[in-house]
Amino acid sequence: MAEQDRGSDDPQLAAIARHALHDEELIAAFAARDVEDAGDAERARSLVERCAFCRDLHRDLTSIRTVIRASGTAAERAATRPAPRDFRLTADDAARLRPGSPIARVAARLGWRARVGLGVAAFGRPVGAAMATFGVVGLLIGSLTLGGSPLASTTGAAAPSAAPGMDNTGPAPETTDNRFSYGPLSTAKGGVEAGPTSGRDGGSLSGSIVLLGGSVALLAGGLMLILASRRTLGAISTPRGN
Amino acid sequence: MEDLRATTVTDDPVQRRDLILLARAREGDLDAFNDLVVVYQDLLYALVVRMVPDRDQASDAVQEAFFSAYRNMEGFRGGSVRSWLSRIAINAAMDAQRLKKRRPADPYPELEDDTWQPPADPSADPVTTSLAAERHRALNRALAQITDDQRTAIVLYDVEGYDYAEIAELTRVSVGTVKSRIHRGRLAMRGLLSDRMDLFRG
Repeated sequence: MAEQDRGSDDPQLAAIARHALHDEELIAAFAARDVEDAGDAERARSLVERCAFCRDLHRDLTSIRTVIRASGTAAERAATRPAPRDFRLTADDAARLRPGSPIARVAARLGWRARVGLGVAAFGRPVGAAMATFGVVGLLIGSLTLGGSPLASTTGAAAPSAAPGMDNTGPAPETTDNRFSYGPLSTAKGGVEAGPTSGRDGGSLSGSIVLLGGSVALLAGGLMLILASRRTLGAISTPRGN
Repeated sequence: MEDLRATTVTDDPVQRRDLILLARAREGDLDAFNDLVVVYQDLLYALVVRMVPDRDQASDAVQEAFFSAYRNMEGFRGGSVRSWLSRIAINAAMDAQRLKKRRPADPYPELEDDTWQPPADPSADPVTTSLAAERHRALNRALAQITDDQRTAIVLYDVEGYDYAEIAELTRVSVGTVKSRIHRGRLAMRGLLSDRMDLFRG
């Protein structure tokens, strides 16, 4: 008896196993007449003809689609069922929403200031502090590099090798008269001569000046940003009317 | 002010009325806009509540749609006011679906009741009418349980009659994705209705 049952179940199980490999989405597309490729359409038709489960699926999907389509459009439903509440706008809603309203116009005019103010309040302090720090560091580096080159060139008090920032790896001076010829210096003749490294030192000098100028600007900008941030925060935290 | 009537078909008296109301609303007449709200609020609610089955969320979405329409009246480029409002409402419904995904607030939402039935055939016997009502209820429950994307595509295509390209444009996905959502949605509904399919097989 058990043998007989197993025997009768096996074809069913085999059909289920076969159907598990079938493309149900293809059948769904076929039921909706959405298969454009001729080969796919033929494959779907063959599945529906040969597989009972695919045939049931095709029939069920077609039925579901038909029932959904007959389930009433929004217009049909609206004709007999009103919305649960009134969606009309109040005057306040309109004033808030309309771009052309006086409130909206004022808001639009002040909007960028408010946004800048909020940005300054939020980021002014850390950004300002960072800018000021870079400014101070730049000032230090600039003053060191600026202090090195001209010192050596104008006073002659320090030997080239002692001057910070001076390149002392160049050729050694041949004579003592010529010992200061590393930079844009005054020679024994009283004039200014371009020594072997005078171009580079000139560049270094102008670079130092640019660095100093930029550092001063960074420092000033950073300090201003910190001050502005403190003022904006003060204005925001001050209660209106006080 | 731009004369909308010059650029649109005005043979339809409903459309002409809508365009006049919208033109007046654009001039700042709130009552004219609210007349449009009264005309279309039932329709838009009926459309949105099938996409967002939670009644409260659907109401909020419709309100947001009218706010959006009021804000963007200047963006109306002619054509059907009803279609324009419907598109805004569909977008609001999709926004509500996205919001629901991010913030699933109410674990027991008040779902749209399914007492509405398609008009019955007067000649149909009571049994047939009763079966149709039961089928309709089962369908609505299954529709409420599939994914938002699938439900939106099915409602817009099967119920409201939008074509694939229109749905693709509205939902900002490809036509292939729209088709796939519809097919997978129907397959999912068939799975959900597996023990009630006798109602559908006629």
